Amino acid sequence: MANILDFFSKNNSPDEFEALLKPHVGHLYRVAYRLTNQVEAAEDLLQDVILHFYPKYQELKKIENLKPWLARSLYNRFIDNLRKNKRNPVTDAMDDTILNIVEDHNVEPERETEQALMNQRINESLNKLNEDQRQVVMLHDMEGYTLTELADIMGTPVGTLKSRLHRARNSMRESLAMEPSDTLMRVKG
Amino acid sequence: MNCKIILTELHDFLDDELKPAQHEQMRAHLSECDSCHQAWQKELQFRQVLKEHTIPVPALGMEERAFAKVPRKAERSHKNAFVAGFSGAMAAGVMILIAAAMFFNPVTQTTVPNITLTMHQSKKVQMVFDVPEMVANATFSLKVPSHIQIAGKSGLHQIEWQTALKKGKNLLSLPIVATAANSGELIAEIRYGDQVKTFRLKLDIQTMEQGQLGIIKVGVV
Repeated sequence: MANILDFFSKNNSPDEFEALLKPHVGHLYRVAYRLTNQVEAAEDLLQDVILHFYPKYQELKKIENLKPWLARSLYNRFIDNLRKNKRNPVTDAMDDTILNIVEDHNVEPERETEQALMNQRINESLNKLNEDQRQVVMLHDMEGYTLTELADIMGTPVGTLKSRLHRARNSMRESLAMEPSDTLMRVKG
Repeated sequence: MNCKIILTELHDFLDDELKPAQHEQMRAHLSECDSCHQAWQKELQFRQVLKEHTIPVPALGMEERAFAKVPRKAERSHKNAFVAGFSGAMAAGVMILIAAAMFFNPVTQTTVPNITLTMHQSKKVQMVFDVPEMVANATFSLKVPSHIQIAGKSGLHQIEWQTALKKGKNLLSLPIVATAANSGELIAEIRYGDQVKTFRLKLDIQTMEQGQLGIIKVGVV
C-alpha cells in the first residue's frame, strides 16, 4: 500500500533532496531523452521519476554510487510507463535537433551545421534499429555506460547486450555508409 | 595473436572488456600491424561520431521543472516542528480505518465516523484512500482542532502538501494526541484539478486512562 504521508515519519527535506539529486539531473535528462526521443516526454519522465524518488530520500542518501542507481530507476519507470501507455515513442521529434543546435550555438556555424547534418544522419540510422538495439547503442556508445552497468540498469545479461550492440553498430555503419572495421581484414584475408 | 583474433576482439578491446594481459597483446599487435591499425582507427572514428551525437537542449529552467512536483509547501511549514512532549510511544493496537473510495465521484460522506481519544495518549489514525487511477499531483490538507496535536508536528493544526496517489489503496498514517477534553473534528481534504473531496472524522475525548477503541470501517464515500 502506498504511503502518502511518508514525511511524517522520515522528516524528508525537499531542499536536501534537491541538493542530493541536482548534480544528476542533467545526466538523467540525457538518459530520459535517449529513451523517449522527445524533449517533452523526457522532461515528463524526469519529473515523474524525481517525484517517485522523493519518498525514498532516506534510502537514496545511503547509496554510494547514485548515478547507475538513478539511471536504473529511470529506465524501470520508462518501461513501466511504456507498458501502461502502450505507446512507443517515435523519433520524429529528433528532426528538431538541427534547429536546436544551429540556434543554440553561434560559434563556428559551419562546423555546427556539419555536426547537425551528421546528427540527423545518425538519428535516421538510429530509427532503423529496434528499440532494444537503439537503447543499448545510445546508452553505451553515446552516454558512456559500461556493459556491466547496463546489464544492471536494464536487467539484461552482458552477452545479450553485446550481441545487440554488435548488430546495432553494424546496421548504423551501413546506414551511415561507414566502412566496417573488419573490411580491410576481409580484403586482406 | 593473429589478425583474425584481433578483429574478433577489437570491440571488446575498445569497450575495455578484455583482461589486462589480452589488452596488452592487442595493443602490441595494433601498433605493429598496419591493416589492423587501420581497422582500429576506423572503428575509433565511428565511435567518435556516435559520441558526438547531440540531443536537443531543454528550455531554460529544466532543473526547476524537474523538481516542480516535489511537495514543498507542507515541508517548509513543518520544518523544525518536532517538539518534545508526546514523542513517546503511541498506544498499541488502536487504529481507525477510514475506507474512502472513488473520490473522483461527486458523492458526499454520508456518515461521519468517530473515534474516542484519551487525553495525552497518542493514537494512530489510519485512513485508507482507495482511488480508481493514479493521481500524480494531488493536494492533501489536514485540519485538526487546536487541542489536537499531530505527533512530531506539535503546534501545527492545518497542514497541506502535494503527493502522488497510486492506483488502489493509499495509506495516511496519522498519530494524534488530545491535550484537552473537548470534542472536535479532523478534516482531510484532497484536491485534484478542480475536484475536491472532504473527509471528516469526529474526535471524542475522554479523560479515562484508557480509551476502548477498535477498528472502525466506514463505508464508501
